[in-house]
Amino acid sequence: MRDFAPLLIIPAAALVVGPAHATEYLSIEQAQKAIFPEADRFVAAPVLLSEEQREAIEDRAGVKQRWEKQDVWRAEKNGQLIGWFIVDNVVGKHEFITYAAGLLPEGKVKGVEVMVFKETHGDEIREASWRKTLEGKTLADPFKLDKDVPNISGATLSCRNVMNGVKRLLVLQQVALPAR
Amino acid sequence: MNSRTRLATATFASLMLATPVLADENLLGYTAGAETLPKGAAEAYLWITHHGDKRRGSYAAQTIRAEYEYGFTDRLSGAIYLNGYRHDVDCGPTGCAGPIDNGEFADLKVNKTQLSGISAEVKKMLLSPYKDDLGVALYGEFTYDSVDSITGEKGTGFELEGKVIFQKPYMDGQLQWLSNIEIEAESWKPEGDGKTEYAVAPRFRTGVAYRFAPNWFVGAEGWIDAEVLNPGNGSWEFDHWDVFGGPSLHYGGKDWWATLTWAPQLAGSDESNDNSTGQHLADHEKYEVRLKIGYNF
Repeated sequence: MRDFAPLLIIPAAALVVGPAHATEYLSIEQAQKAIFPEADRFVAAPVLLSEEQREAIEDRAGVKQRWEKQDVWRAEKNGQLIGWFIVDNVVGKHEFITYAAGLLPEGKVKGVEVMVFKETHGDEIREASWRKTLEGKTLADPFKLDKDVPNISGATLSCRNVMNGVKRLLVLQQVALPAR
Repeated sequence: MNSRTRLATATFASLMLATPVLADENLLGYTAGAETLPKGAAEAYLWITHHGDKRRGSYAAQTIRAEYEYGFTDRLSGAIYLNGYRHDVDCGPTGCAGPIDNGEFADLKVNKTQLSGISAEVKKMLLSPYKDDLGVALYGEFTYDSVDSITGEKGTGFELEGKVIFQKPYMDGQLQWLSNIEIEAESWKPEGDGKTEYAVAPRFRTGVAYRFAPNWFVGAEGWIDAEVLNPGNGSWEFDHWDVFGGPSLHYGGKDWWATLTWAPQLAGSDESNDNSTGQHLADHEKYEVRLKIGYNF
């Protein structure tokens, strides 16, 4: 290994952990108000999924339900259920992306908000113009990039995983949440 | 707003947001991924590959490449390279490889750093790994070289390399499988009256990279290649085959990334019958270490 010692310094320097770039855009309360501004109460209703339910979600959504516990809130107005507010994490290119989805009782997407985006790039998915393409979606929609949801070049993985995550939450609603 | 209008609006919005991206981030040191830089994005790379130890003597060489890559469209990128070598070699009278009584590189002694040439690359993504599930890309590279990569001696060489690149994401992209089918054709004329040699080398590379912590990927990759050679007399002959493989570590940050791969030679055809050690150490070395650093701007 002659003459190699100086080169060893370079990888050592390169592999020093870089600074974190975590950016929290919305708190849970802010995301709740953004998606369900008409709600007068949010009631925590966390869901603990059984193995069978997780398998059912994966089978129908086509993506893995990674966690047993899903953070869910009932959005209520005058004591009536007006929708479900769900906080979820999906894989980004380097880190998990935390977002919230609002689902109407009939199984339709009310809105999507990106809460924490630790990714180092691709935060264009936070733009309202992209998130709005998910509004109104049901499980009858294709959920296909560049078909019914636009792709953002350079952020394809983020687009795909948030899109698939929303579809998975629609399935989770059918599998694990009551109709009212 | 109907879905088509939303699609158009979001696409337009995404085009207006020229945030630097790391779409062509190299998760492995040798096996390429299928993604290309988006339109208008640029990336600079520095590659250093250390080649260490032959059969005998003292052998250390580094291949150094500085690369600038640019995205012409979202699916077509191009790059130019400046290449150089550093050699610190002392093979002695028996040579660094081959039979002891007729060694290759006998009395070769070199200790210098040289600029060797330039390369140009084009890469076309046919299918996106995240949109189409299986990413497929075509890659072509042309190189002009003025230094022998093994000996450091001067000459004139040309190389054409083609690849078909496959990339399959698993676990929502947390695990990536990459494979390259490659073919390389090269010519080399040593300085002076030497004959021009020609070689063709098919190669298959494959590897996986798994994100084990935010920003960090651990991986393993390997490759098998073979070379047929025309030593300048018009006849083609099989020269050698070899297999390399080893682990890699990748870090991806906001503006830059780095990948470090260690790849020992696992097996290869002996250079001569009296060297039955299961490695080919004439055209290759006992191990390679590659560091790639990419920076977006």
